Amino acid sequence: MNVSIAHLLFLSFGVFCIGGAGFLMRRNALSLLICLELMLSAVNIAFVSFSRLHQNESGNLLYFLVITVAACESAVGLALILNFFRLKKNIRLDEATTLKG
Amino acid sequence: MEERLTRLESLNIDRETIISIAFFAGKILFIFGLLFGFIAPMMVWVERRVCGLIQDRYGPNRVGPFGLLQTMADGIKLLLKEDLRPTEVHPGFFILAPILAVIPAAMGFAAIPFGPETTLGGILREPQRLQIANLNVGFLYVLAIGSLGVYSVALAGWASNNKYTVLGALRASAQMISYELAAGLSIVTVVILSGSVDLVKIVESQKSVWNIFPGFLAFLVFLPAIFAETNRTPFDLAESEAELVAGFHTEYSGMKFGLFFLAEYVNMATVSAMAVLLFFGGWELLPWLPWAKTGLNMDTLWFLPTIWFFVKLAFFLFFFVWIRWTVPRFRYDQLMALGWKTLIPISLFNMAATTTILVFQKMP
Amino acid sequence: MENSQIVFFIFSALILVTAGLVAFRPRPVESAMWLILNFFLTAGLYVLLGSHFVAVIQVLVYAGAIMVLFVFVILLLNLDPRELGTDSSVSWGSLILFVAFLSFILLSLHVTTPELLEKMPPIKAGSTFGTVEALSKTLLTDYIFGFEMAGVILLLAIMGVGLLAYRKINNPRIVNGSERP
Repeated sequence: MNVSIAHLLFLSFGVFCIGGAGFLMRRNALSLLICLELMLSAVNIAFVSFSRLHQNESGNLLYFLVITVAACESAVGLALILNFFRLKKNIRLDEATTLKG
Repeated sequence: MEERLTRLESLNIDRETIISIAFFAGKILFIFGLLFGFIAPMMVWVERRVCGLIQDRYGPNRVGPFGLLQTMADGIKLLLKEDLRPTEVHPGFFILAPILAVIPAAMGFAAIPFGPETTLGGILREPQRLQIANLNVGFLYVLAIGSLGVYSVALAGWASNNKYTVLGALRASAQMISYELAAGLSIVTVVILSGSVDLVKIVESQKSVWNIFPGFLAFLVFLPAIFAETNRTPFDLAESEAELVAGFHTEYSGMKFGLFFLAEYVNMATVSAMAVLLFFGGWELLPWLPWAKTGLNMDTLWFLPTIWFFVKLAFFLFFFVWIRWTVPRFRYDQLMALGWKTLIPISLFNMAATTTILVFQKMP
Repeated sequence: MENSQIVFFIFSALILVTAGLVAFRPRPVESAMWLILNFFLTAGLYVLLGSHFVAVIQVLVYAGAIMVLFVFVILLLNLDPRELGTDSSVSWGSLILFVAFLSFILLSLHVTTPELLEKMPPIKAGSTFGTVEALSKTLLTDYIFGFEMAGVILLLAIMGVGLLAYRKINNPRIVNGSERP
């Protein structure tokens, strides 16, 4: 492909910022997790781009580690959301004010 | 024709390019024509006729000879029906869901090879694959596209805004993710046996012995998994008529409903093709007798393996129908227990055992 | 501009637009659906970059498994807008500061290392870059420890989720989830 690494990094940066903005501004737990996935995906774009730049598989492997962490994070996060919903009957994070279950 | 070819040659396009473009377009037309124009309509008819046979009655036999035109009549009926949209549905997703059912179904078959490398009896200069897209990731593409079918079910159920449809969608999505795992693990065993992820190479590795013999356990896992993946009886919990009033497509009518139906049959064809390629030697003639040993001139009879492949595929499609009208539906907790407590442990064990045996075989 | 560049810019624009829709659509279902489309476009970008296996894994794992889990939970909760709460819009200032800071880092990188703007070298002919074989070889030789750790992380996540989902059932008639006759 005939673009520079800077183009790809800017794309990754843009997606990361959008995800971060969403993460900071949303108040419901589900959207928060979705924005987190978006940020991880942005990081993945950077990894795969560097892998392509050096034509070396290491970047692609970091992609796999990130995707593993993303899967674990979403599984645990969603389980927490379900428990929270069982407790409060909503998923407004403003109401998560008590520490113990 | 000849005149046109020479005219194109004067435009600096040589004959080879034209033939290769025509070959490519021909493959696409052949596969999509076969899937949507022949297999899906025929399956609607076959399903009802076989049902009649098994239940000792006639089945559709009024429209055309043996009722063969029944599907066409049904299609016209579905197209002419009023396009109902209940008031409380989410308008965007309600329309998106049937579209999302058909697109992955159509995309999945693109990576499936349907014959050995061939020159089409000398028309092509070099042997080419009978496969629309030759991807170096092979079966993973089919698996990836197949895993997207769940969104249409989930969205249809959610957008219909009805308790039964949501229940059906929930059941279907849980079922499809669980059984995808079992199917994937059993395919990994086949990949270990054949030593490649490329479907053509997997078929070539089965020249002497089909994978069904060393990988019988894997096939035992793969078979229920593909039934569950395509939401067919005995695992059609998503649309069980008695409890859920047809589940996720309760609110659909007309051609939107028809699209779900179409996608189901095309998905059946795709998973049947996968079963044939992975376990039953693809287009090879018999377990002990590949085409190369028959003494036939395969350069001129290049179409025989392809026809044989589709015969095997047709057998699997028949098998789907046969099972549907023979085996009763599972209960939901039985279904989940079968998936997680039986099939996945078996396939994990099978994978470890196969690897161990192969490693010991290759030791000097 | 060459074809591959045009395709790249189209893909990037679509990725950014869908990312925006993911972050700012009010209902989680819509966010999730846009995110699936975003992952698809990202997979397309990976194909452009030559990492075919990564592209397929993107569709298989991200779009086909992780997002199914999200959609599944959204279906399970079946929330109405009241239960979602309102989103805050006060943090614009900090947001702009954040973006400005990160842009500053990127721009300073540009100034100090101008070779970042050079075009990437084409993939050598006959290179195995991005294929399953090359990736798995690297994974099982150089990165075997990371690979094992990924397995441990997954196991821990399974245990954690099991712990979170566990509830004592008081009704003695219920065994294995189904009622005894």
